[in-house]
Amino acid sequence: MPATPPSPHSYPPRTSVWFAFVSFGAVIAAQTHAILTSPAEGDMGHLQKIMYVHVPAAWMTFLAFFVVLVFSARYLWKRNENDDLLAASAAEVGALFNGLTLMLGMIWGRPAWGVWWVWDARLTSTLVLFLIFVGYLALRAFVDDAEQKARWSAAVGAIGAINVPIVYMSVTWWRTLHQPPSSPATLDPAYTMGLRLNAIALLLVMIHFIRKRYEIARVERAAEHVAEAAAMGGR
Amino acid sequence: MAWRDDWRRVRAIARKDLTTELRAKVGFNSVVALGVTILILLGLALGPDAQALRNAAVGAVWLATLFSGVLAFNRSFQVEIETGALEQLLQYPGPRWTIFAGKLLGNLLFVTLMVAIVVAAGIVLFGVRIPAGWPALLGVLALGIVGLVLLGTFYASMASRSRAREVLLPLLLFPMLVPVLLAATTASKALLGADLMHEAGAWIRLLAVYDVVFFIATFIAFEHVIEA
Amino acid sequence: MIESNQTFIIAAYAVTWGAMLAYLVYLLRRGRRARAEYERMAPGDRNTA
Repeated sequence: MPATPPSPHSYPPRTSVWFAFVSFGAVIAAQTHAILTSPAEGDMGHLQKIMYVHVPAAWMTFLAFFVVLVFSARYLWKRNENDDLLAASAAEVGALFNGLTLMLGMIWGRPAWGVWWVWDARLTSTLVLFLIFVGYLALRAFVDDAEQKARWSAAVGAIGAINVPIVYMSVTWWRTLHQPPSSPATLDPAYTMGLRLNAIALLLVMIHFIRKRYEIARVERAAEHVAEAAAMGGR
Repeated sequence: MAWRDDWRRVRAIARKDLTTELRAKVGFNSVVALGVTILILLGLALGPDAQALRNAAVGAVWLATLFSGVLAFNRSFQVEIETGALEQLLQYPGPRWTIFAGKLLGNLLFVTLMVAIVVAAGIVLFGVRIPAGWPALLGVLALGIVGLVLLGTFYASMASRSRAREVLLPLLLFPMLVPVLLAATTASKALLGADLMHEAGAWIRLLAVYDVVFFIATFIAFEHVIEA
Repeated sequence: MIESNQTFIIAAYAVTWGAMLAYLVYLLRRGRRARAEYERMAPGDRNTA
């Protein structure tokens, strides 16, 4: 069953610019608030402040994965091309936040643990998830037919997302069986408010990124359809 | 009655795959040879201390299995792609899942035989001491192989038809197999070492859940993936 | 210890903003290119909200 192509009149409207400003402004505000109001801690000093960017980035990663899952499933169900484009957009943005989470984890880990990397449960499972995102994007890059690309990435995206909790669980078990958790997973309640504010702000940024990326995907796909129609009609 | 027809289709596809492989025994032999070669290289890279090797044995066997398994999975779709038989197969009446099931059966047998040989080589090369409770180890191996073959066959059905199959299949497959790798190696190590903390049970349950979840998921997804 | 941690804190926020701004710029440029391409292929045939 062929997927429904968008009609020329479903050319998407521009993602609003003011939302971009609002979301970035919110992040600036949330970060400033958190940095200024959070207390120093023992001999780690202000290192915990990195958590205000690292933890929200991690949460956004999981959220993006969830979006990929939902719209992949929806595409397989309704075969609407736009669902595939939205899933792919969420995957690209998710990969960005995933990479950011890893970098921030390492930047925090170097002074905290003395090394750039430990096979800590969360860093390791985040790394595996990053590879799942990369695999999804690579599949899209190596498949040319639009409909096949959509079907295959939807299947891969859905199955990859199902694996996310399993990977997370198994890496956590793997670590905790032989060593007590070394990462200070639970933050002091004093930090919670700042964390939530930063998470909401980053969510706004992610929403903007995904919407903009989706808009671009639809424009590019619309151009492809025009090219196809021209090629067929010109015969 | 429809069940019996479906099952016949499954067996036919599996038999076709296996006889093609057995006649071209070169295929099976070279995949096994690769697995053993990887084991040898791992032994050289991680040894020569006997205790270090014994500790590394489980991981080495699983890695050798994964890397040579990838070849087996891509090959299982190779013949159809080269001869264009996949389109013909799709035109025959009958549910699609039988194609997947047939491929799965063929790959299960292939990989099980391969693993048997690689494990034997691993026991010898890495000086593994077999404990009294070794049947449990077979159980872990079996569950791990099922997970490997399920996902390997599924991803190969796509990767083998894409532009970069050699890199795409491992890239897609390996991150998905992390739970299998962790569960199989941790449980095996525990069982080899008398499992004082009774860890193996939890990991075996994880493997079983994993296999069930992806058995269902891949069969459902295959319907969408196999259209030419 | 506290003083040297400052480098890492600054690095963390620099990396975060670097990534966010870089992606923003990537989206702007790619968006501009995509719309120009579409315009080239189907001049005038679109509804912009």
